[in-house]
Amino acid sequence: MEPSDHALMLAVRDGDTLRLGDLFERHHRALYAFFVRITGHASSSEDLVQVVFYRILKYRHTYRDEGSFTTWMYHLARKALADHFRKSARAPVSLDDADGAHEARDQAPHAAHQAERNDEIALLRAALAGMPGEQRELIVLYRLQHLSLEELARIHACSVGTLKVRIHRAIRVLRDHFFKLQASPRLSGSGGRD
Amino acid sequence: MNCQRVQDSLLDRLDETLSSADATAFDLHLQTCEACRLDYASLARTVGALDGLPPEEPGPRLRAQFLAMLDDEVRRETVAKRAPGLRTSGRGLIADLFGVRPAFQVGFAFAMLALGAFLGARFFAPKPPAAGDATTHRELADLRSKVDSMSQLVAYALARQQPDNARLRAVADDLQQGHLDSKKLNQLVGALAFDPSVNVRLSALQALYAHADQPIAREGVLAALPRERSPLVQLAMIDFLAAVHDHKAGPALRSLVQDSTADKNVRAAAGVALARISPFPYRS
Repeated sequence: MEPSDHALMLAVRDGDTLRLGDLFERHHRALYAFFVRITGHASSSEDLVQVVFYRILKYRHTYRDEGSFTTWMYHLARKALADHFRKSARAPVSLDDADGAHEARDQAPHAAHQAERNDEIALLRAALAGMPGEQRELIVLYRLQHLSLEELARIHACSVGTLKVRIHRAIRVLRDHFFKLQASPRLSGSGGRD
Repeated sequence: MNCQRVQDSLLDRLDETLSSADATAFDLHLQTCEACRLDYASLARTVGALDGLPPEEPGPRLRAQFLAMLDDEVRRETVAKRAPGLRTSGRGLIADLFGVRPAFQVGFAFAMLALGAFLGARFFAPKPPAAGDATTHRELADLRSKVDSMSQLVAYALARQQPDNARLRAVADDLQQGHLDSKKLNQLVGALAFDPSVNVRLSALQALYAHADQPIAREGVLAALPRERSPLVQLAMIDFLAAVHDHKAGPALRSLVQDSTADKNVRAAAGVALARISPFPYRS
């Protein structure tokens, strides 16, 4: 049976540094997806993943026995993200395909259907990028990274009930942005990738 | 169920976490309340679009950087474990012997230099190259034959039901595949870099041969080479990089050639591979 994340992290903490490689293999894609969906930049997101794993190593002695590794990792990820925005003074921008971060990988056979889908993806990314940071992060963590409400409540240091209200509100904000962009003649139908 | 309760339950309905009784009451309300129905439909469409976002995959640069960082850290830890005692006791010894008097220190330095030159000439004279080369080639051939018998190693490990049996089987399955998606390739590269079993790492490398045309395979092998400690796997990796004529492998191979702690067969193989991939192998 595969060791749990928690067991691997305890091993890293206790000196078996190489086990961090196993944790990297398990989580680097999810972390990258988290960052790229918030920053919209592929290369910055790769750097941020690197920063998180560096900090996991640096602060491994602070990892607690009773903790959840995923919660701790996303706690570090959020701090890395805050540092990134503070240093670069850069709000998340285009979320288009400028640096090759986003590539629609599904191969729909019908070109018109594919174009329509690409439009929807572009609009949704633009809607996400237009949201306030904390709400965007909540949606990404909950809906795209599939963190549980309990994990998210621990990360945000609030109750599950409070968190549900925040997520509900965030999805409504996203919905409003999304539909507004769809109604906009400039973006709607352009695909947003030109 | 009234409008307020429906509003409170929207997220649960979207996540399908309502009890069946509540879900039925929710749906019944939507049939009679157009405002709630439209609200729910627009939220469901937004969430559906979110769920349909394509996956995001990082490039191979990320793994290479991570491995380099991990290697640095492991080296630093190793040095830190050895160094403090040595440094302290060394400094203490010199201070005890010479205090801070420069004349003694200069005299001692000259004496050590003379002693070093004598010992070097006496005990470390270069050996005749022919005998050394023959031994190197024989050992190299021996190690290569071990690499060639990788499939026997795999079968042997499977038969013995070792703890890494499952991992080995997974990699052996990939050996049979003509096409592997990027996730599978990533797993193979991960196994090559991190699996504690030499057999699994060798099998992963063999599976990567069939996909050597893909950058992820080549860059994965290149990233894993500096942290590999088994001469057997190092040799197999060097063969791989030489076979695919990966020019990017130059610095890593040069570093191995110059690494006095590396196995001599590995250093020899790295030199040969370097010559194969580059017309000017030692130009930095």
